[in-house]
Amino acid sequence: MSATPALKMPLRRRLAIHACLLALCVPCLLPLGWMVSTSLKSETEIFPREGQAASAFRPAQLVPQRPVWRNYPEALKTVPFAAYLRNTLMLCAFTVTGAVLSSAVVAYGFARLRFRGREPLFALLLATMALPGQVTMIPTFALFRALGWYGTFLPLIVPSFFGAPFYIFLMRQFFRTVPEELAEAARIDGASEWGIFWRIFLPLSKPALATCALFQFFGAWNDFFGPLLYLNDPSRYTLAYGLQQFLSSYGGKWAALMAGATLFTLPVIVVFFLAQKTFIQGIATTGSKG
Amino acid sequence: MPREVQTVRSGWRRRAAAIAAGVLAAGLALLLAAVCAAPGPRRRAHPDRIPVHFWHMWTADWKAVVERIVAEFNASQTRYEVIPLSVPSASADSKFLLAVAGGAPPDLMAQWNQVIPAWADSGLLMELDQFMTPEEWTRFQAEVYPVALKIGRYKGHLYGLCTAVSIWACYYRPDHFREAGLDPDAFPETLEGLWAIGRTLERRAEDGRLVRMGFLPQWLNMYAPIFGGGFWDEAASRAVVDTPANLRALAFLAECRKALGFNEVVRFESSLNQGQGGNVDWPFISGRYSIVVDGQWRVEQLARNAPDLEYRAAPIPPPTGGKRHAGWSNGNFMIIPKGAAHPEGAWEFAKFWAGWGDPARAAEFCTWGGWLPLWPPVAEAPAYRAFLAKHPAFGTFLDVLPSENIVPSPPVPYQVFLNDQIGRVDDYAMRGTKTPEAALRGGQAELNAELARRRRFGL
Repeated sequence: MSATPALKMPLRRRLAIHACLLALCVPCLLPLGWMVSTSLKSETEIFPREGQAASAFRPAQLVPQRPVWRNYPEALKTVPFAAYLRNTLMLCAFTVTGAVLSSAVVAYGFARLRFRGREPLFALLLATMALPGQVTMIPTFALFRALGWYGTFLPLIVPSFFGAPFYIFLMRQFFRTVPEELAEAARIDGASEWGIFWRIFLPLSKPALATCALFQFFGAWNDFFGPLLYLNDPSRYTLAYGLQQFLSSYGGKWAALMAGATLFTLPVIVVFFLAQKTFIQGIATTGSKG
Repeated sequence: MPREVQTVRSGWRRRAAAIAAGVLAAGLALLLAAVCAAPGPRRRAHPDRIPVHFWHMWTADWKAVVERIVAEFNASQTRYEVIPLSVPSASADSKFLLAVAGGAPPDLMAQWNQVIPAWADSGLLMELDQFMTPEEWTRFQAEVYPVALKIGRYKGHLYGLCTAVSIWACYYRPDHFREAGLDPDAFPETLEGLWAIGRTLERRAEDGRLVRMGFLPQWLNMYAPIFGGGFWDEAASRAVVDTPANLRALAFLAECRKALGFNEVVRFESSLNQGQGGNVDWPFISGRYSIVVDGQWRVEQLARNAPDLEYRAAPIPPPTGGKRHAGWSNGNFMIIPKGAAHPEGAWEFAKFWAGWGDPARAAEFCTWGGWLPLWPPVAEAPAYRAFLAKHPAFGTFLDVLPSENIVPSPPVPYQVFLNDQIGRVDDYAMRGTKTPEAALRGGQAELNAELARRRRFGL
């Protein structure tokens, strides 16, 4: 087995490239670093006291003089983190399942089935992506209210089971790259259209499915407006909503606030790193980029 | 590839998979623990009563006070159950508007944003005077503090029932006065005198940076009425920006800023924590300001967060030829949206909080939140008097409260636009990018254009 092109490179060159990449990463990571660092500082360390002028930023300031770990229990104590986490994860689980499965079915139809009006219908679907959410907000709200779903999780979950235009587009592009011969061979073996989709296309589309799942997970995790509009019971609030509540309540408690923000961000980072390889593969194979 | 290398690699993969599975299992266990620890949905305490859904924007300590008042109301009668909901203030208006448009509004909402003219003009709010008899309405107008009426009234009707009014005054540090050789008992009588004292109290680092601000007069909205100006022409019933009195106010503010150094002030202010939520980092507590203009709620916060801090409060002194006990004000008020399912219950609760018929009880509520009351009977109640004795600085704000010179934002439906323009005028002059004359002229031109646009659209 031959070495990869990267390994063929001289060590000095590889180090230089890595140094450049790391330098480019610094501006992106600085806010994150500041957040984590502030979450471990005391209030007096964050803001100068009487007689001390604010000095210019120095990288050394990112390292807390003495880490204050109690900011984390304080943040957890201030908001019902467990309840918010439960609600958020529940929403993530349902919406990811719903969005990925329903979008895959619709995308398969657009990619592989021939029917009259397919292209105009697909164009119409894409056009809905251009509609700002504010335009449909009031009719959607009125609809869910008429269904008696106001104040429940249903308006946040059910729509994801009806396909999302962006995921449909993403998966359609992926399905089109799968050789037609595979479907033909399955048909000869007696597979139905559903069987071809389920047994051939879905297993081959793991990267695209994972990409959509990740997008949906991030979307549901960060969704603030949906829970704000539809939920009226604090025990049903999500983490994004709870963090906003924390900001309103304790905007001055920067250390605890940053501890809360770190706890909020951490799962997303962990999920991203765990699924990073599949995610990038999915993006590369569907020809899309964020 | 040699078989040994393949074996090593597959072994490594198995270990990696085992680690990943372990991490996943630990994550799931944590999730399960979180789910088990989480409380279930909220249950109603009085399911047999008429529910009154009440939205408010208070959080932290104030949220607890609101819930205490709600509990008092729910215990005081057997017909209604008020169900409070704290909504993040940054998005409360969006939630409210969508709920009204979608046909599912709350029964009552506590507000402090200046929404009454715009929302009343759009037909979103109920007229509250319809819940009163003509005699009650007349008496109400005569008895409440003038500013409380101005805040809630629009086009002759009451749309917001104030439960508390906010007044701004000067907080100052006697220790800084003594340190500078000044007498803390002789607070300046004029704004010019206050500015001069502020310069004496100011401290700078060796390189010239401000480390302590003596006094920084800022915010045109607050100072325009003090100079005899403002943004509402009562006689013509229209908003104005460019007036001689407003020019005097803006010129004074800009001159002060220029004397301190435009950039110096920005640099100083950006280094401050604004002390939201009343924490110990309010710049006044930490000694970054010697004199600062702020609201009455700081009195209670100071007692809680800095009980040993020596401070005093005094009304903002007028400039020569200006108005005494003047300034901008706002308040907390209750609105009932059109389409509310139980407006009568909402009105009952609003009255209960405001002290209608029982000022002694409302006085208790005001002491819990550190609020200024709607009308004098509440201020004269024993509980409020005891509160004043405990917090003498609060008396300063109560003294200013009855003044006719305290004004809210103009009662116009384009209030957001107007405030935006005033803010821009202020900003131009404070940054020194425009002269006060040019800034006000520009603001007036923008306002005229907006009024013309509104006329064109028949608004």
